[in-house]
Amino acid sequence: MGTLWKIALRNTIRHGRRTLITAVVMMVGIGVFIFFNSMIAGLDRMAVDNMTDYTLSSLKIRTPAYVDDIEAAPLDKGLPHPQAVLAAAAAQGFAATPRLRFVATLSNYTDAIPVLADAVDPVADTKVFKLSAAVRAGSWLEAARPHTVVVGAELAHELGVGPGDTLLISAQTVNDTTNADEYTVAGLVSVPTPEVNQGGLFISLEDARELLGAATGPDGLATEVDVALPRASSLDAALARGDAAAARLHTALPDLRVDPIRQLASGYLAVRNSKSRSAFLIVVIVLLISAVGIVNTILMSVYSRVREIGVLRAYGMTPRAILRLFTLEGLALGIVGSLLGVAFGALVNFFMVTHGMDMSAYAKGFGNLPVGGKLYGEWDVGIMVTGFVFGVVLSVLAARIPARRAARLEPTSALRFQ
Amino acid sequence: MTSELLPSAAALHLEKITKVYHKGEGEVRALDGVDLDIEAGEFLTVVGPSGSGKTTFLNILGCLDSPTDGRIVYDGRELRGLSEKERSAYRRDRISFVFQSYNLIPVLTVRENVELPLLIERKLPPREIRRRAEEIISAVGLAGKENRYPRELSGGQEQRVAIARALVKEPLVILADEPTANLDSHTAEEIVELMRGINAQRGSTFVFSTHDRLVMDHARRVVTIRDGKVTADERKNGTAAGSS
Repeated sequence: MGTLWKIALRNTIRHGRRTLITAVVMMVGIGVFIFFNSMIAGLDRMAVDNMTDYTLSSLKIRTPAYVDDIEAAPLDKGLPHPQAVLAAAAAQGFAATPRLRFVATLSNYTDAIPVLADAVDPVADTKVFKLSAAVRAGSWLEAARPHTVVVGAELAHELGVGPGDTLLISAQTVNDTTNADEYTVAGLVSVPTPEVNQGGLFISLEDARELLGAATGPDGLATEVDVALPRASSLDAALARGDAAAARLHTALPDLRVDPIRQLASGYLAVRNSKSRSAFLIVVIVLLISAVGIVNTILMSVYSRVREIGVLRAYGMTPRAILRLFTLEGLALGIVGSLLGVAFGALVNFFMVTHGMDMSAYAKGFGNLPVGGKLYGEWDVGIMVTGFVFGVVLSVLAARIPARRAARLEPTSALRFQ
Repeated sequence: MTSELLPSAAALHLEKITKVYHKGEGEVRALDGVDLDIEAGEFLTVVGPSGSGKTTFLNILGCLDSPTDGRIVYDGRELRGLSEKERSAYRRDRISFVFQSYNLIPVLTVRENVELPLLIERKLPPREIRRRAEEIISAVGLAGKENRYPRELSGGQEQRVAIARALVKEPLVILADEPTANLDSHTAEEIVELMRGINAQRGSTFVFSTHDRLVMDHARRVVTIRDGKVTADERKNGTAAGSS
């Protein structure tokens, strides 16, 4: 085997240009594989981060009855003691904020649009969500400025209102009557989650409770408590951390339902899995193209060394050893190409991880997916190892085709070959 | 190995060897009932015009090809019906080749090229392989050039390496197909004298196919093949060998 390796390796080096061309094709294939996976992981991370930051939070604590009837946003199924829930979250060291969701109709006195409004604690909400930092015009809610609202930028555009304008908000109260009041637009928010831009209405808890005729004060009506968890190093780590925190909080609050981000974003995560599979398919096609390159390179190697094969056979080398010789060349090529591919993928990924890519211009192309802002790549050692192993295995398998042809050569015709 | 032991005084015994190639609907009778005995230590030349069957004869002697009919007995063993693997093993153990175009492995050094047959054989420890290779490299006059690559050698030096490679495993027979055809006359003479000297010192059996008058002049026995038949078998003392 030592002699075979020596011949295989030296031939790989000797035909440097040929080796390099094949290795570059492999490098691109594996590099694209790593980069593609990083982009997808980054996109997923961005989407889930955006959902966490602007709509879902890391964890939602609600009553089971509320979740069962969630489409109706029932006010009578809110949390019985929001303060106790906030205290339980604080005891675990988590930032948390109460929210009250209700169905409202927003009117500029000409048009009326139904929305799902979020009543928030103007101060505590900023510890969990990043909406206050996404105010594009005007300002975020302030307790000192009652009867103000913050509206999604596209919704405001549709209604033709801006900061300082007045909106009429009507809603069904807890007593099943309809109430309405006028509010001043404090600010407009523009975030990467389209649902906020197109239908977001944020009002202070106290204003909302007053509009809905609900209990006020520290333990007043809230339909959910939203919890923030520290940012994890990867999406999988974030999901695992959310699961663990949910389990702990559920132990402390056994009568309530605690849903981690894995549950809250289950629809998106299901799409993500199928997306990863199709990405893998694309990369398999790219690598198969490089496999054709490997077959071609080894075939050229076989044809340029037919007489050499004849000599080796004349000196008693078996067809099996000839097969091994050219398979080893494929292996050497595979190792070189795969190493270059991993290095190339890692280099491109390094820039993606450190500098990121601004996705704002492409956000529309993602439809209703919460994609926007700066996309950063994600490191995944498993994907790099997979890319390397896949490249090497593919090279060996590809090399078997010409290697078999070399092994089948008759020594007499090989020695006559010109 | 399925061959049987047979009583024979000759190192190589060929009996009614026939080789027929089929080309389209016709056939070419490359060898037609060749009988020949080759003794150990002979320095024999096979001559004849192009297409006479010399190369086929050498290929069959070298176990690179099987005869269509006839018997070939090597060192007392009948080789008919051997599988490809068994023929590979027989070549590996008993036969060496020197080619017209040297056919050294370009990515191996002089020493590695010479060691190659022993490395394929895998019978000796690495230290012994190296010792034998260096000894034979020195014997062919290339001491000091062990670490050169073939591209760094002249044609004559390459052929010396090929001869060293053929000799290193101490084969039963060395088959040389036109070994001087690519060399100038001075180098060709050096190479023939080298092989003649090795034949005399070590008793190695050499069988050449050649058109070169120089090689014929050095041979002690000249076998002429025409149209696949042995038409003359002449020993240099003037007597005809009686085996054809």
